[in-house]
Amino acid sequence: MSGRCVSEPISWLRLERHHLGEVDATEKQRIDEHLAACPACAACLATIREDDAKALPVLTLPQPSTRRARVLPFMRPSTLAAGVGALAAAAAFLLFLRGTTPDDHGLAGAHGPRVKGGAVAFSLVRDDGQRVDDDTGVYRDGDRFKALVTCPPGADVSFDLVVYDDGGATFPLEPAMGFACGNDVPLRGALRLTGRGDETVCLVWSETGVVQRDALPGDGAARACKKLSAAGGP
Amino acid sequence: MEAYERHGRALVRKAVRILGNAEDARDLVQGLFVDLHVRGETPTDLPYLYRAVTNRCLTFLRDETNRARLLERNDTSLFPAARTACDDQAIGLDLLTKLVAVLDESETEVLTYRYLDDMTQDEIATLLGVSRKTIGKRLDRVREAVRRMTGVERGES
Repeated sequence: MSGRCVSEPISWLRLERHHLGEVDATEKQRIDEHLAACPACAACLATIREDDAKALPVLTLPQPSTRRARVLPFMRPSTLAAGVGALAAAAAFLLFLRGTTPDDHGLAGAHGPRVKGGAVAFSLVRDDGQRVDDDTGVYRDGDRFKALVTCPPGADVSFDLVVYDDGGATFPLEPAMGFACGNDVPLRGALRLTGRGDETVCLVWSETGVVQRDALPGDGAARACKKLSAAGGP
Repeated sequence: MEAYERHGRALVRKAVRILGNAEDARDLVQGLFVDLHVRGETPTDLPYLYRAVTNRCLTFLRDETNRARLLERNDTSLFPAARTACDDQAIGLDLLTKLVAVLDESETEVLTYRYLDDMTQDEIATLLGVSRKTIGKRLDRVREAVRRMTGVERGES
């Protein structure tokens, strides 16, 4: 949008409500008359219409709470040992910290201590709503994921997400402390996977304060991992 | 959630105007609807949701870590140019983050409605349920803070 409004601008909220048909006839007429005379405000409405044509990321809501969290299987040794596909790509926006692969650290098949009274599970959900529930999956270059965590309501657990690729470990999200456990509760933020390499995304957690990133991978934190391979392969 | 489908895009656009990048805006709006869902609330009123997103954005900006990250990722093209000639101040993320640090919550909320959403004082008063005079006083404090930071002397609307 460029230029000055011819008088008092139509606010973005009024433009949005006009666009949604939420204004009464008098208000609609007033706005329409202004738009007809004001290229600046008309351009703002045009950007709203243009933006509305884009897809809205799927909203992933937590499942209804129950007395106990729904327990999902994670890090099944047999599945992990099978190693269905090595995975995923270089996350271009992530810092590359040289290290070793998850398997080198014994992550595959690892079971950390469980949260008292329940279990922790996680899944990854793409912006298009497709969920990676299994321990393996595929991503396309540039895919953006949110991590959903299931843990016993009331549990005092800190979470973090770590992405392992070619010898590197990165932490795309802020550590989640004081997490409000439930079913499929999203971690704050999202991660984007880019490139054509394999990646392993692990949820790590601790019941004794924040997850110590410097100490990972270690025995102090529990983890659940998902392997992702790039669509089309390297 | 029906409200998300209907108002989600408008709310993301609103959050983008404050935060300066689309990804944080989407996450913040989704977080709002998740929290509403958890609390069992199903608001359908856009002005109410607008306020909720505004306050979440400002809370987000008050966190110094977030501010630094947002400034790194700031896409200046996402900020609206000033449409008004009477408040001749285009507020970018850099200035906004500084103002958030010196203004109180009610002032920063009014600031975003006036300078980023182009609302009139009457609209802001209606939205917040306070008098126009109250809004005027808050805007006076905002303008004074802007002047102190930019060293620009301008006429009042």
